[in-house]
Amino acid sequence: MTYSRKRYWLALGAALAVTAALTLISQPHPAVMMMVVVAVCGALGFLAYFSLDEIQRQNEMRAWYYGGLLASLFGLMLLPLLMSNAMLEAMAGLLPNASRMAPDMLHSPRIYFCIGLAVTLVVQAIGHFIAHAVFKVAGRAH
Amino acid sequence: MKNRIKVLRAEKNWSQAELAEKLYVARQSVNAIETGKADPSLPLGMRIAKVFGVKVEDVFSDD
Repeated sequence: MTYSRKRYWLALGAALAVTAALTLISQPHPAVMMMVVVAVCGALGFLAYFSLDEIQRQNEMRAWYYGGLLASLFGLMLLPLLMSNAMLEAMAGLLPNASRMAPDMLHSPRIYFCIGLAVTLVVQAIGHFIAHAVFKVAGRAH
Repeated sequence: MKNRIKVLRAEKNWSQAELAEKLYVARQSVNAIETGKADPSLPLGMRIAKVFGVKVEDVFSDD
């Protein structure tokens, strides 16, 4: 796919708009609709990514990688620091414990999975922008 | 990796934007390659040489 600045911004804008619109409009989210949103936004994200030229893709990949490192280093700290004690205790209760392994504890509720996924992705996205800013200051990227 | 893109571009009297248009890349990418901040892939390197009408080794060389 050839480079197209217009297609990149259109695809990226559409992905963000679809996410924002469906998140705000539809409450609560049916599971099927969430899967559709993820699929549509994923496809638009790929379209945006492949609308960049190879040098821009190199920079995006590098920034995403370092953003991931930042997320690993600092992002996961947000969870224990900002989360309420009650929720932390509830999460701790989900850890495998052979002495009180009840059937209903074998499957963690979806909310914890969603929180974990959301925090990781959001922090990685923020880390990605921080990495871009650092590259810009260091003069390694454009 | 060193390159002579700036010299070749000056010979042709092309701006970075004009070269970027011929290569189907962003102007910023041409600038990044020209200043050595980014290295192009082999296909892009060959495309650059083709646009200037020279061999790849006439555009790029080792440090």
